Amino acid sequence: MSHPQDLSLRDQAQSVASGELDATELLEATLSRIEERDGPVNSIVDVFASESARMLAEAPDGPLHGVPIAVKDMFALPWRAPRDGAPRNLEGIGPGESAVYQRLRDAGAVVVAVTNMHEFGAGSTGHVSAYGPCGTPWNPARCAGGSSGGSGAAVAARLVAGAVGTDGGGSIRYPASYCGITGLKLTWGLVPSHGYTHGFASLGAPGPMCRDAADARLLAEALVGRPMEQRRASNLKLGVVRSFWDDVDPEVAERCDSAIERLREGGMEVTEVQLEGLEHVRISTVLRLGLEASPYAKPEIYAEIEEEVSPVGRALSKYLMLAPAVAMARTELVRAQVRRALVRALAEVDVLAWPMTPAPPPPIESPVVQLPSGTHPADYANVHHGGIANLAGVPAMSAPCGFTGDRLPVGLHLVAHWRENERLLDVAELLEQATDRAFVDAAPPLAQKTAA
Amino acid sequence: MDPEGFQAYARAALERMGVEVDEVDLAVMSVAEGVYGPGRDALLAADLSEVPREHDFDPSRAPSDVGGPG
Repeated sequence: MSHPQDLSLRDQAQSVASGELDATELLEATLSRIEERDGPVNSIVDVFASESARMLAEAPDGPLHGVPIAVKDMFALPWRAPRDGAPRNLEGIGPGESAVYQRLRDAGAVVVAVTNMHEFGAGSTGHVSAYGPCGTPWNPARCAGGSSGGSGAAVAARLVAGAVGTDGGGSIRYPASYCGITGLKLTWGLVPSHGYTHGFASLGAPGPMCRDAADARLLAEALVGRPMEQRRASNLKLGVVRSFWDDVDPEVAERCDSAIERLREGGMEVTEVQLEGLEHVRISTVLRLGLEASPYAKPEIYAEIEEEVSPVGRALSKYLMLAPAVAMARTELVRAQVRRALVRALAEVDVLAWPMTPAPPPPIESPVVQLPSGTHPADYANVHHGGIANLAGVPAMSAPCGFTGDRLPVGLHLVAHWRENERLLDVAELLEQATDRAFVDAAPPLAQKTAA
Repeated sequence: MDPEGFQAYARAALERMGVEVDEVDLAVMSVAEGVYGPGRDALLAADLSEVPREHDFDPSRAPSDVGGPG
Protein backbone atom coordinates (compact mmCIF):
# COMPACT_ATOMS: atom_id res chain seq x y z
CA MET A 1 0.00 0.00 0.00
CA SER A 2 1.18 3.53 -0.74
CA HIS A 3 1.75 6.02 2.05
CA PRO A 4 -1.65 7.05 3.41
CA GLN A 5 -0.84 10.72 2.84
CA ASP A 6 -0.62 9.97 -0.88
CA LEU A 7 -4.33 9.20 -0.69
CA SER A 8 -6.87 11.93 -1.23
CA LEU A 9 -8.69 13.36 1.76
CA ARG A 10 -11.89 11.55 0.79
CA ASP A 11 -10.04 8.27 0.31
CA GLN A 12 -8.49 8.64 3.73
CA ALA A 13 -11.92 9.27 5.23
CA GLN A 14 -13.51 6.37 3.38
CA SER A 15 -10.65 4.00 4.22
CA VAL A 16 -10.83 4.86 7.90
CA ALA A 17 -14.62 4.50 7.89
CA SER A 18 -14.46 1.13 6.19
CA GLY A 19 -11.75 -0.15 8.53
CA GLU A 20 -9.31 -0.56 5.68
CA LEU A 21 -7.04 2.09 7.19
CA ASP A 22 -6.36 2.35 10.89
CA ALA A 23 -6.72 5.96 12.04
CA THR A 24 -3.91 5.65 14.56
CA GLU A 25 -1.57 4.41 11.86
CA LEU A 26 -2.70 7.24 9.60
CA LEU A 27 -1.90 9.76 12.31
CA GLU A 28 1.50 8.25 13.02
CA ALA A 29 2.33 8.09 9.32
CA THR A 30 1.34 11.74 8.97
CA LEU A 31 3.54 12.85 11.83
CA SER A 32 6.44 10.84 10.38
CA ARG A 33 5.98 12.31 6.94
CA ILE A 34 5.95 15.85 8.30
CA GLU A 35 9.18 15.10 10.14
CA GLU A 36 10.83 13.53 7.10
CA ARG A 37 9.65 15.82 4.34
CA ASP A 38 8.87 19.31 5.58
CA GLY A 39 12.41 20.62 5.99
CA PRO A 40 12.95 22.19 2.56
CA VAL A 41 9.58 23.94 2.44
CA ASN A 42 9.08 24.87 6.12
CA SER A 43 5.31 24.60 5.93
CA ILE A 44 4.64 23.23 9.42
CA VAL A 45 5.47 25.23 12.55
CA ASP A 46 4.00 23.00 15.25
CA VAL A 47 2.91 19.35 15.40
CA PHE A 48 0.68 17.84 18.06
CA ALA A 49 1.47 14.20 18.69
CA SER A 50 -0.27 13.95 22.04
CA GLU A 51 -3.12 16.41 21.43
CA SER A 52 -3.99 14.86 18.07
CA ALA A 53 -3.92 11.38 19.62
CA ARG A 54 -6.34 12.64 22.25
CA MET A 55 -8.58 14.19 19.59
CA LEU A 56 -8.55 10.89 17.76
CA ALA A 57 -9.47 8.94 20.87
CA GLU A 58 -12.44 11.24 21.42
CA ALA A 59 -13.36 11.77 17.76
CA PRO A 60 -17.05 11.38 16.99
CA ASP A 61 -18.28 9.62 13.91
CA GLY A 62 -18.33 12.15 11.15
CA PRO A 63 -17.34 12.73 7.53
CA LEU A 64 -13.70 13.29 8.48
CA HIS A 65 -13.47 10.75 11.28
CA GLY A 66 -9.81 10.10 12.08
CA VAL A 67 -8.46 12.26 9.25
CA PRO A 68 -5.51 14.56 10.05
CA ILE A 69 -5.95 18.22 9.12
CA ALA A 70 -3.50 21.10 9.47
CA VAL A 71 -4.68 24.61 10.32
CA LYS A 72 -3.18 28.03 9.71
CA ASP A 73 -1.57 29.86 12.62
CA MET A 74 -4.64 32.11 12.99
CA PHE A 75 -6.98 29.80 14.89
CA ALA A 76 -7.19 29.20 18.62
CA LEU A 77 -6.79 25.58 19.64
CA PRO A 78 -7.55 24.40 23.17
CA TRP A 79 -3.85 23.79 23.72
CA ARG A 80 -2.31 26.60 21.67
CA ALA A 81 -2.84 30.32 21.03
CA PRO A 82 -2.57 31.45 17.41
CA ARG A 83 0.51 33.52 16.59
CA ASP A 84 -0.21 34.93 13.12
CA GLY A 85 3.25 34.01 11.87
CA ALA A 86 4.69 36.31 14.52
CA PRO A 87 5.96 35.82 18.08
CA ARG A 88 2.39 36.44 19.33
CA ASN A 89 -0.90 37.53 17.88
CA LEU A 90 -1.63 41.21 18.47
CA GLU A 91 -5.28 40.74 19.41
CA GLY A 92 -4.55 38.92 22.66
CA ILE A 93 -6.36 35.72 21.60
CA GLY A 94 -5.28 32.86 23.83
CA PRO A 95 -5.78 29.11 23.65
CA GLY A 96 -9.39 28.06 23.21
CA GLU A 97 -11.93 26.55 20.88
CA SER A 98 -12.07 28.53 17.66
CA ALA A 99 -15.04 27.89 15.40
CA VAL A 100 -12.74 26.18 12.92
CA TYR A 101 -11.46 23.84 15.63
CA GLN A 102 -15.01 23.08 16.73
CA ARG A 103 -16.20 22.36 13.21
CA LEU A 104 -13.23 20.09 12.51
CA ARG A 105 -13.63 18.28 15.82
CA ASP A 106 -17.37 17.81 15.27
CA ALA A 107 -16.64 16.29 11.84
CA GLY A 108 -14.33 13.79 13.52
CA ALA A 109 -11.12 15.31 12.17
CA VAL A 110 -7.82 15.44 14.02
CA VAL A 111 -5.85 18.69 14.14
CA VAL A 112 -2.34 17.40 13.60
CA ALA A 113 -0.35 20.59 12.97
CA VAL A 114 -0.27 24.35 12.59
CA THR A 115 1.02 25.76 9.34
CA ASN A 116 3.40 28.60 8.57
CA MET A 117 2.06 31.91 7.33
CA HIS A 118 3.15 35.37 6.25
CA GLU A 119 3.74 37.57 9.30
CA PHE A 120 0.40 38.97 10.57
CA GLY A 121 -1.18 37.80 7.32
CA ALA A 122 0.22 40.88 5.65
CA GLY A 123 1.64 39.47 2.44
CA SER A 124 0.95 37.29 -0.57
CA THR A 125 4.35 35.61 -0.67
CA GLY A 126 4.95 33.82 2.65
CA HIS A 127 8.61 34.80 2.66
CA VAL A 128 8.30 36.85 5.88
CA SER A 129 7.46 34.86 9.00
CA ALA A 130 8.70 34.46 12.54
CA TYR A 131 9.21 30.81 11.60
CA GLY A 132 11.23 31.56 8.50
CA PRO A 133 10.16 31.65 4.86
CA CYS A 134 7.93 29.02 3.34
CA GLY A 135 8.73 27.63 -0.12
CA THR A 136 6.54 25.99 -2.72
CA PRO A 137 7.22 22.26 -2.97
CA TRP A 138 7.57 22.75 -6.73
CA ASN A 139 10.75 24.71 -6.08
CA PRO A 140 11.48 25.48 -2.42
CA ALA A 141 13.61 28.47 -3.40
CA ARG A 142 10.41 30.12 -4.59
CA CYS A 143 7.55 31.48 -2.51
CA ALA A 144 4.73 29.23 -1.35
CA GLY A 145 2.48 32.29 -1.33
CA GLY A 146 0.72 34.04 1.45
CA SER A 147 -0.52 34.45 3.75
CA SER A 148 -1.66 30.81 4.01
CA GLY A 149 1.56 29.57 2.40
CA GLY A 150 2.19 26.81 4.90
CA SER A 151 -1.25 25.32 4.34
CA GLY A 152 -0.70 25.36 0.58
CA ALA A 153 2.78 23.89 0.76
CA ALA A 154 1.82 21.20 3.28
CA VAL A 155 -0.95 19.94 1.00
CA ALA A 156 1.17 20.14 -2.15
CA ALA A 157 4.00 18.25 -0.43
CA ARG A 158 1.46 15.63 0.66
CA LEU A 159 2.16 16.10 4.34
CA VAL A 160 -1.60 16.35 4.84
CA ALA A 161 -4.44 16.00 2.37
CA GLY A 162 -6.36 18.91 3.79
CA ALA A 163 -5.50 22.18 5.48
CA VAL A 164 -7.46 25.22 6.54
CA GLY A 165 -6.36 28.65 5.40
CA THR A 166 -7.76 32.13 5.69
CA ASP A 167 -8.19 34.74 2.99
CA GLY A 168 -8.38 38.48 3.70
CA GLY A 169 -6.96 39.70 0.41
CA GLY A 170 -6.32 36.51 -1.55
CA SER A 171 -4.45 34.61 1.16
CA ILE A 172 -5.90 31.18 0.37
CA ARG A 173 -5.91 31.64 -3.36
CA TYR A 174 -2.37 32.93 -3.98
CA PRO A 175 -0.72 30.01 -2.16
CA ALA A 176 -3.11 27.60 -3.86
CA SER A 177 -1.90 29.00 -7.18
CA TYR A 178 1.78 29.03 -6.20
CA CYS A 179 1.62 25.48 -4.79
CA GLY A 180 -0.56 23.92 -7.50
CA ILE A 181 -3.48 23.01 -5.25
CA THR A 182 -7.16 23.88 -4.93
CA GLY A 183 -8.03 26.66 -2.49
CA LEU A 184 -11.48 28.05 -1.77
CA LYS A 185 -12.26 31.28 0.04
CA LEU A 186 -15.75 30.77 1.34
CA THR A 187 -18.35 33.52 1.34
CA TRP A 188 -17.67 35.96 4.15
CA GLY A 189 -19.39 34.93 7.38
CA LEU A 190 -20.16 31.35 6.38
CA VAL A 191 -17.84 30.07 9.10
CA PRO A 192 -18.22 31.74 12.52
CA SER A 193 -15.28 33.96 13.36
CA HIS A 194 -14.62 33.28 17.03
CA GLY A 195 -11.07 32.26 17.79
CA TYR A 196 -9.86 33.55 14.41
CA THR A 197 -7.31 36.29 14.93
CA HIS A 198 -8.72 38.41 12.11
CA GLY A 199 -12.30 37.56 12.89
CA PHE A 200 -12.99 41.28 13.25
CA ALA A 201 -12.23 41.92 9.60
CA SER A 202 -14.83 42.52 6.94
CA LEU A 203 -12.58 40.95 4.32
CA GLY A 204 -11.31 37.68 5.77
CA ALA A 205 -12.82 34.22 5.56
CA PRO A 206 -11.50 30.72 6.22
CA GLY A 207 -11.58 27.98 3.64
CA PRO A 208 -10.29 24.59 2.58
CA MET A 209 -6.98 23.96 0.83
CA CYS A 210 -6.75 20.53 -0.76
CA ARG A 211 -5.32 18.79 -3.78
CA ASP A 212 -8.56 18.76 -5.74
CA ALA A 213 -12.10 20.07 -5.71
CA ALA A 214 -13.76 16.94 -4.33
CA ASP A 215 -11.49 17.07 -1.28
CA ALA A 216 -12.07 20.81 -0.95
CA ARG A 217 -15.81 20.16 -1.00
CA LEU A 218 -15.49 17.58 1.77
CA LEU A 219 -13.43 19.89 3.97
CA ALA A 220 -15.65 22.88 3.17
CA GLU A 221 -18.69 20.89 4.24
CA ALA A 222 -17.03 20.27 7.59
CA LEU A 223 -16.19 23.97 7.96
CA VAL A 224 -19.65 25.26 7.09
CA GLY A 225 -21.45 22.39 8.81
CA ARG A 226 -23.75 21.48 5.94
CA PRO A 227 -23.62 19.56 2.65
CA MET A 228 -22.38 21.41 -0.41
CA GLU A 229 -24.38 19.96 -3.24
CA GLN A 230 -22.55 18.79 -6.33
CA ARG A 231 -24.12 19.69 -9.65
CA ARG A 232 -23.20 19.42 -13.28
CA ALA A 233 -21.13 22.39 -14.38
CA SER A 234 -21.24 21.71 -18.09
CA ASN A 235 -24.44 23.74 -18.51
CA LEU A 236 -23.13 26.76 -16.62
CA LYS A 237 -22.01 30.06 -18.13
CA LEU A 238 -18.44 31.23 -17.60
CA GLY A 239 -17.65 34.93 -17.80
CA VAL A 240 -14.07 35.75 -18.74
CA VAL A 241 -12.91 39.13 -17.44
CA ARG A 242 -10.41 39.86 -20.17
CA SER A 243 -9.02 43.04 -18.57
CA PHE A 244 -7.15 40.84 -16.09
CA TRP A 245 -5.04 39.52 -18.97
CA ASP A 246 -3.69 43.02 -19.72
CA ASP A 247 -0.57 42.71 -17.56
CA VAL A 248 0.13 39.03 -17.06
CA ASP A 249 3.13 36.78 -17.62
CA PRO A 250 2.72 35.23 -21.10
CA GLU A 251 2.93 31.65 -19.85
CA VAL A 252 0.31 32.31 -17.16
CA ALA A 253 -1.94 33.95 -19.75
CA GLU A 254 -1.60 30.98 -22.11
CA ARG A 255 -2.30 28.35 -19.41
CA CYS A 256 -5.40 30.21 -18.25
CA ASP A 257 -6.63 30.64 -21.81
CA SER A 258 -6.09 26.95 -22.37
CA ALA A 259 -8.05 26.07 -19.21
CA ILE A 260 -10.95 28.23 -20.35
CA GLU A 261 -10.88 26.47 -23.71
CA ARG A 262 -11.01 23.10 -21.91
CA LEU A 263 -14.05 24.33 -19.95
CA ARG A 264 -15.69 25.41 -23.19
CA GLU A 265 -15.00 21.97 -24.67
CA GLY A 266 -16.43 20.50 -21.48
CA GLY A 267 -19.75 22.14 -22.24
CA MET A 268 -19.63 25.52 -20.53
CA GLU A 269 -20.82 28.53 -22.43
CA VAL A 270 -17.96 31.01 -22.36
CA THR A 271 -18.48 34.72 -22.82
CA GLU A 272 -16.49 37.86 -22.08
CA VAL A 273 -17.77 40.23 -19.41
CA GLN A 274 -16.70 43.63 -18.12
CA LEU A 275 -16.32 44.53 -14.47
CA GLU A 276 -16.54 48.21 -13.61
CA GLY A 277 -14.63 49.85 -10.81
CA LEU A 278 -11.51 47.67 -10.87
CA GLU A 279 -9.03 50.56 -10.95
CA HIS A 280 -9.16 51.16 -7.19
CA VAL A 281 -9.49 47.56 -6.01
CA ARG A 282 -5.79 47.15 -5.28
CA ILE A 283 -5.34 50.17 -3.02
CA SER A 284 -8.74 49.72 -1.39
CA THR A 285 -7.91 46.15 -0.43
CA VAL A 286 -4.48 47.11 0.90
CA LEU A 287 -5.83 50.00 2.96
CA ARG A 288 -8.69 48.03 4.44
CA LEU A 289 -6.51 45.01 5.21
CA GLY A 290 -4.06 47.13 7.11
CA LEU A 291 -6.38 49.57 8.77
CA GLU A 292 -9.24 47.31 9.84
CA ALA A 293 -6.73 45.49 12.03
CA SER A 294 -5.39 48.53 13.81
CA PRO A 295 -8.18 49.06 16.39
CA TYR A 296 -7.90 45.44 17.50
CA ALA A 297 -4.14 45.33 17.93
CA LYS A 298 -3.16 45.77 21.56
CA PRO A 299 -0.31 48.31 21.81
CA GLU A 300 1.10 46.63 24.91
CA ILE A 301 1.49 43.34 23.04
CA TYR A 302 3.10 45.08 20.10
CA ALA A 303 5.51 46.85 22.43
CA GLU A 304 6.56 43.51 23.92
CA ILE A 305 7.28 41.85 20.57
CA GLU A 306 8.35 44.84 18.49
CA GLU A 307 12.01 43.82 18.45
CA GLU A 308 11.06 40.39 17.08
CA VAL A 309 8.80 41.67 14.33
CA SER A 310 10.43 41.80 10.90
CA PRO A 311 11.81 45.21 9.88
CA VAL A 312 9.44 45.20 6.92
CA GLY A 313 6.41 44.41 9.08
CA ARG A 314 7.41 47.06 11.60
CA ALA A 315 7.86 49.74 8.95
CA LEU A 316 4.66 48.88 7.09
CA SER A 317 2.62 49.09 10.28
CA LYS A 318 3.94 52.63 10.67
CA TYR A 319 3.37 53.45 7.01
CA LEU A 320 -0.31 52.57 7.34
CA MET A 321 -0.61 55.09 10.14
CA LEU A 322 0.02 57.77 7.52
CA ALA A 323 -2.95 56.75 5.38
CA PRO A 324 -5.45 59.61 5.11
CA ALA A 325 -8.80 58.86 6.72
CA VAL A 326 -10.55 60.14 3.61
CA ALA A 327 -8.87 57.38 1.58
CA MET A 328 -10.29 54.77 3.92
CA ALA A 329 -13.73 56.36 3.63
CA ARG A 330 -13.45 56.23 -0.14
CA THR A 331 -12.77 52.51 -0.05
CA GLU A 332 -16.38 52.13 1.11
CA LEU A 333 -17.53 53.59 -2.18
CA VAL A 334 -15.14 51.44 -4.18
CA ARG A 335 -16.50 48.48 -2.34
CA ALA A 336 -20.10 49.44 -3.09
CA GLN A 337 -19.13 49.91 -6.72
CA VAL A 338 -17.49 46.51 -7.18
CA ARG A 339 -20.18 44.69 -5.22
CA ARG A 340 -22.82 46.10 -7.54
CA ALA A 341 -20.63 45.35 -10.57
CA LEU A 342 -20.36 41.73 -9.46
CA VAL A 343 -24.12 41.44 -9.02
CA ARG A 344 -24.62 42.71 -12.56
CA ALA A 345 -21.94 40.43 -14.03
CA LEU A 346 -23.17 37.39 -12.12
CA ALA A 347 -26.68 37.98 -13.36
CA GLU A 348 -25.35 37.25 -16.85
CA VAL A 349 -23.01 34.35 -16.06
CA ASP A 350 -22.63 31.79 -13.26
CA VAL A 351 -18.91 32.04 -12.63
CA LEU A 352 -16.23 34.59 -13.51
CA ALA A 353 -12.66 33.64 -14.43
CA TRP A 354 -9.24 35.22 -14.79
CA PRO A 355 -5.64 34.33 -13.87
CA MET A 356 -5.22 33.89 -10.12
CA THR A 357 -1.78 35.41 -9.94
CA PRO A 358 -0.28 37.44 -12.77
CA ALA A 359 2.99 35.56 -12.58
CA PRO A 360 4.39 32.26 -11.27
CA PRO A 361 5.80 32.07 -7.74
CA PRO A 362 8.70 34.50 -7.34
CA PRO A 363 12.04 33.71 -5.67
CA ILE A 364 12.03 33.89 -1.87
CA GLU A 365 15.23 35.89 -2.06
CA SER A 366 13.59 38.58 -4.17
CA PRO A 367 9.79 38.31 -4.30
CA VAL A 368 9.20 40.43 -7.37
CA VAL A 369 7.47 39.44 -10.58
CA GLN A 370 8.23 40.30 -14.19
CA LEU A 371 5.17 41.49 -16.05
CA PRO A 372 4.77 43.15 -19.46
CA SER A 373 4.56 46.51 -17.63
CA GLY A 374 7.82 45.90 -15.76
CA THR A 375 9.08 44.49 -12.48
CA HIS A 376 6.74 44.74 -9.51
CA PRO A 377 6.57 43.45 -5.94
CA ALA A 378 4.50 40.25 -6.03
CA ASP A 379 2.13 41.67 -3.39
CA TYR A 380 1.34 44.67 -5.55
CA ALA A 381 0.66 42.51 -8.59
CA ASN A 382 -1.33 39.82 -6.82
CA VAL A 383 -3.78 41.95 -4.89
CA HIS A 384 -5.11 43.45 -8.11
CA HIS A 385 -6.29 39.97 -9.10
CA GLY A 386 -7.49 38.67 -5.72
CA GLY A 387 -8.72 41.64 -3.72
CA ILE A 388 -12.10 42.11 -5.37
CA ALA A 389 -13.51 38.93 -3.81
CA ASN A 390 -12.56 40.19 -0.37
CA LEU A 391 -13.96 43.66 -0.86
CA ALA A 392 -17.19 42.09 -2.10
CA GLY A 393 -17.43 39.10 0.26
CA VAL A 394 -18.07 36.65 -2.58
CA PRO A 395 -16.64 33.12 -2.70
CA ALA A 396 -13.61 32.63 -4.90
CA MET A 397 -11.08 29.93 -5.57
CA SER A 398 -7.88 29.03 -7.35
CA ALA A 399 -7.94 25.83 -9.38
CA PRO A 400 -4.74 24.30 -10.79
CA CYS A 401 -4.65 24.80 -14.55
CA GLY A 402 -1.12 24.17 -15.74
CA PHE A 403 2.60 24.59 -15.33
CA THR A 404 5.13 26.99 -16.76
CA GLY A 405 8.12 25.75 -18.71
CA ASP A 406 10.03 25.79 -15.41
CA ARG A 407 7.41 23.47 -13.93
CA LEU A 408 5.89 26.11 -11.69
CA PRO A 409 2.14 25.87 -11.08
CA VAL A 410 -0.48 28.21 -12.54
CA GLY A 411 -3.95 28.73 -11.06
CA LEU A 412 -7.21 29.84 -12.62
CA HIS A 413 -9.24 32.24 -10.48
CA LEU A 414 -12.96 31.49 -10.27
CA VAL A 415 -15.46 33.84 -8.62
CA ALA A 416 -19.15 33.23 -7.97
CA HIS A 417 -22.22 34.80 -6.39
CA TRP A 418 -22.41 35.05 -2.58
CA ARG A 419 -24.74 32.03 -2.44
CA GLU A 420 -22.85 29.88 -4.92
CA ASN A 421 -19.77 28.42 -3.23
CA GLU A 422 -20.73 25.04 -4.65
CA ARG A 423 -20.66 26.28 -8.24
CA LEU A 424 -16.97 27.08 -7.93
CA LEU A 425 -16.25 23.51 -6.88
CA ASP A 426 -18.42 22.20 -9.72
CA VAL A 427 -16.46 24.23 -12.28
CA ALA A 428 -13.14 23.17 -10.78
CA GLU A 429 -14.21 19.53 -11.02
CA LEU A 430 -15.19 20.03 -14.64
CA LEU A 431 -11.75 21.51 -15.30
CA GLU A 432 -10.13 18.49 -13.66
CA GLN A 433 -12.14 16.15 -15.88
CA ALA A 434 -11.44 18.18 -18.98
CA THR A 435 -7.70 18.05 -18.31
CA ASP A 436 -7.59 14.38 -17.31
CA ARG A 437 -6.63 15.47 -13.79
CA ALA A 438 -3.16 16.25 -15.12
CA PHE A 439 -2.67 19.25 -12.82
CA VAL A 440 -4.34 18.11 -9.60
CA ASP A 441 -2.66 14.70 -9.62
CA ALA A 442 0.81 15.99 -10.44
CA ALA A 443 3.22 15.61 -7.52
CA PRO A 444 6.06 18.06 -6.98
CA PRO A 445 9.64 16.73 -7.15
CA LEU A 446 9.95 16.83 -3.39
CA ALA A 447 6.96 14.49 -3.07
CA GLN A 448 8.15 12.16 -5.81
CA LYS A 449 11.65 11.87 -4.38
CA THR A 450 10.74 10.67 -0.91
CA ALA A 451 7.62 8.77 -1.87
CA ALA A 452 9.70 6.05 -3.50
CA MET B 1 5.93 63.92 -3.21
CA ASP B 2 9.62 63.15 -3.86
CA PRO B 3 11.28 60.48 -1.70
CA GLU B 4 13.13 63.03 0.41
CA GLY B 5 9.99 65.02 1.00
CA PHE B 6 8.07 61.88 1.86
CA GLN B 7 10.64 60.81 4.42
CA ALA B 8 10.58 64.22 6.08
CA TYR B 9 6.79 64.13 6.15
CA ALA B 10 6.69 60.56 7.48
CA ARG B 11 9.18 61.29 10.25
CA ALA B 12 7.38 64.45 11.33
CA ALA B 13 3.89 62.93 11.18
CA LEU B 14 4.82 59.77 13.05
CA GLU B 15 6.84 61.62 15.68
CA ARG B 16 3.81 63.85 16.24
CA MET B 17 1.88 60.63 16.95
CA GLY B 18 4.59 59.57 19.38
CA VAL B 19 5.87 56.82 17.09
CA GLU B 20 9.61 56.44 16.77
CA VAL B 21 11.05 55.90 13.32
CA ASP B 22 14.52 54.86 12.28
CA GLU B 23 16.33 54.82 8.96
CA VAL B 24 15.17 51.28 8.15
CA ASP B 25 11.56 52.30 8.75
CA LEU B 26 11.98 55.29 6.49
CA ALA B 27 13.63 53.27 3.75
CA VAL B 28 10.89 50.62 3.77
CA MET B 29 8.16 53.25 3.94
CA SER B 30 9.69 55.06 0.97
CA VAL B 31 9.53 51.88 -1.08
CA ALA B 32 5.92 51.30 0.01
CA GLU B 33 5.05 54.87 -0.87
CA GLY B 34 6.58 54.42 -4.31
CA VAL B 35 4.49 51.30 -4.85
CA TYR B 36 1.17 52.23 -3.26
CA GLY B 37 1.28 56.04 -3.13
CA PRO B 38 0.14 56.55 -6.75
CA GLY B 39 -2.86 54.26 -6.24
CA ARG B 40 -3.80 56.05 -3.04
CA ASP B 41 -3.49 59.43 -4.73
CA ALA B 42 -5.64 58.19 -7.63
CA LEU B 43 -8.25 57.03 -5.15
CA LEU B 44 -8.18 60.41 -3.44
CA ALA B 45 -8.52 62.19 -6.79
CA ALA B 46 -11.23 59.95 -8.21
CA ASP B 47 -14.68 61.35 -8.70
CA LEU B 48 -16.84 58.90 -6.79
CA SER B 49 -19.64 61.39 -6.24
CA GLU B 50 -22.02 59.35 -8.40
CA VAL B 51 -21.45 56.15 -6.46
CA PRO B 52 -24.21 55.68 -3.90
CA ARG B 53 -23.18 54.45 -0.48
CA GLU B 54 -24.40 50.97 0.35
CA HIS B 55 -26.65 51.57 3.32
CA ASP B 56 -27.34 47.96 4.27
CA PHE B 57 -23.82 46.69 3.72
CA ASP B 58 -23.36 43.04 4.65
CA PRO B 59 -20.41 41.20 3.09
CA SER B 60 -22.17 37.87 3.52
CA ARG B 61 -24.75 38.70 0.88
CA ALA B 62 -25.25 40.63 -2.33
CA PRO B 63 -26.14 44.30 -2.15
CA SER B 64 -29.84 44.91 -2.45
CA ASP B 65 -29.55 48.27 -4.20
CA VAL B 66 -27.97 47.39 -7.52
CA GLY B 67 -29.76 50.06 -9.53
CA GLY B 68 -28.07 53.34 -10.36
CA PRO B 69 -24.48 54.15 -11.23
CA GLY B 70 -21.57 52.23 -9.89
